[in-house]
Amino acid sequence: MKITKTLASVLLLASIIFVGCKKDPVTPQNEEELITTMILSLQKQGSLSVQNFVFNDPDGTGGISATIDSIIIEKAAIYSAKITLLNSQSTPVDSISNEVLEEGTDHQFFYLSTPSNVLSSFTYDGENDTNGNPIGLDFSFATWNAGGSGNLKITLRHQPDKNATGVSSGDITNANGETDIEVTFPVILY
Amino acid sequence: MGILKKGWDINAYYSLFHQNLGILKSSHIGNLTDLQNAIASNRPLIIQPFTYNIENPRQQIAHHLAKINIIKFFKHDNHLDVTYSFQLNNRKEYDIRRGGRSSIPALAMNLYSNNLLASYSRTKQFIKKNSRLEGKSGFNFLAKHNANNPETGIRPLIPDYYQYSTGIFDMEKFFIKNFIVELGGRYDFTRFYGYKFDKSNKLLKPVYNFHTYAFNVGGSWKNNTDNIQLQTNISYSSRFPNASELFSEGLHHGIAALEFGNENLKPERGVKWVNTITTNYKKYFSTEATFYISQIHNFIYLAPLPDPVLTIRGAFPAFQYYQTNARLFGFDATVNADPFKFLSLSLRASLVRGKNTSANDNLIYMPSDRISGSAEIHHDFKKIKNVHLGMMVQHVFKQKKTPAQIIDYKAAPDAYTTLNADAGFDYLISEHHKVSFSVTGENITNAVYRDYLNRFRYYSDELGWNLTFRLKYSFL
Repeated sequence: MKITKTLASVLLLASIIFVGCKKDPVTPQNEEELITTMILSLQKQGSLSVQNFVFNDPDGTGGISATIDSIIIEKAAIYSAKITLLNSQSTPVDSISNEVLEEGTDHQFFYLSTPSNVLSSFTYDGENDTNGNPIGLDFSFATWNAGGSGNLKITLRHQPDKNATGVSSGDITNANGETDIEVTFPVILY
Repeated sequence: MGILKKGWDINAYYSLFHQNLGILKSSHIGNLTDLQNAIASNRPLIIQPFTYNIENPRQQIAHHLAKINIIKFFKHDNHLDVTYSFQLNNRKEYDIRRGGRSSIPALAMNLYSNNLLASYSRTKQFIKKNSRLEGKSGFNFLAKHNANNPETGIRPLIPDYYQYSTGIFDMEKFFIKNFIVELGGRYDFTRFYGYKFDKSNKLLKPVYNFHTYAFNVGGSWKNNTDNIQLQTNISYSSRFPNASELFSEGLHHGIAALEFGNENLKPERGVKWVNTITTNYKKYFSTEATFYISQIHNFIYLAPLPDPVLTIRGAFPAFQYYQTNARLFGFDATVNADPFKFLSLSLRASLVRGKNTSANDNLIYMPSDRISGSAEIHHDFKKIKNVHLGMMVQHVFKQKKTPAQIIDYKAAPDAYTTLNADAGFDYLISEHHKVSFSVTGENITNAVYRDYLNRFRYYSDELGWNLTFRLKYSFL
């Protein structure tokens, strides 16, 4: 009997302690490093107008599917391009491109056109990192004289080996590092 | 630490496990391209200068366990056993992060569990010599709390939750002559409070109440010479979905896939009937065959989503938890023969069939049928003992019973055969010293294959040949 009583009181005490401690978590978890949006701004050489093409996934991975624009631009032209990265989940909207720029030595963009002649002559423009190696937020390229369609894959590598063969001239083969972004835009030349 | 008093046995125990584990940087992939590069490379893609420091990515784990166990003995070995245990698992994962955040863990959580288990065991002998009744009854109280540290700046893999369970159980075993009859029952009530921030940072507080039951009736019989034993067992049991089945949401870096939980899952309930027949003839020959069938209501399973999910890191295969009614049946058989003192032979076969009865389709990710055979020769010399050489061949059939209504990212892989071998001996240096040596070879024919149940089969083959040498020095 004594044991039963002891057990009952232990159980009661335990349940009071366990249940009493429950409290709601209050701090929402902000995805600080999330990249929800990539804006590719293209300007044709000799023209003043800028066209924006957007990859957008406002709720991050999962949930509602991401949307992606088709790049519809002129054939036989030279375009300069600028990449803007945003985290639209934080208020105010965070520019991730600034973070990439600040940590320039740890980041590099790579561009790949399939088929390779649709877009060509990719050149790094804009600011280099503190070691004089490209970052690639700004770049330029030429469009095929004959027109046609294909894909443009833009890759951002985190901590690539920028000194490896070919990497600083835009060849991703030996870059390694971890992929932070890999977005493939459909391309149509008219 | 323990105290022994007459009729009492009291033990207290505490342990701390702490680990700071470096993670192979090359295996920490960002997307499918990284994974394919890592697999295609013949050496790790990232090799950095030697250092004694453990750098990011790394994982830091501290696990505390404190336990008190009290046993009070009564007459006839009857006893009351009360155990209380507390566990705290603190886990932090550090990644290579942007914006100077590498010193902030990417994942930080504390999992607290309190468990109180009390049981009373008793034995009753009947006047008829050959019969007795053994029983055990008790209750269980569990409180669990998972707390994520919000400083990480990353949406947690498993959200905060509190889980409380109370359970009562009773088991009775009746022994009479060559028969054993078993009866058991268990009831658990679990209340689960989830705390999850949705995509717009609104706090959702789903609450679940799960009643789970288990009943078990079984019997076994063996003949007087112990050559044949028959066992049969029917059980009803239920299981409530776990936190990752309910809530997981996001990328599994290890398998480069997205996994989504399902908050509408209900407890799984099933009836299972298991029959086993065991026979043996002297030392030369023994067999065991098991047949089981189970009917499961609300069977929880993971299946690929129709399309890969597009993210900023490219498209990933995606999987979600679903629920259906299912029927499974399976058969396992083993035959062992020792025709000579130095030779052991063995054959095994295993077969499982799973049916999604609601959709009238096959269940996904059911193990393929397999058979294996092994032979080993062994002998003990005077000083060199346990000299052995063995071979094992396993053939795994292609899983042809895949669901017709689920489109998998890749069709089930072909059948394959693997060959393993093992050899070794123990050398007795003296009465108190022994050296053991062994070589194990896995997949020695270097078969190229993929296994249906390994999710890496979507990207790569299984391991090629692998040789392991072991040298062990023991003090006897």
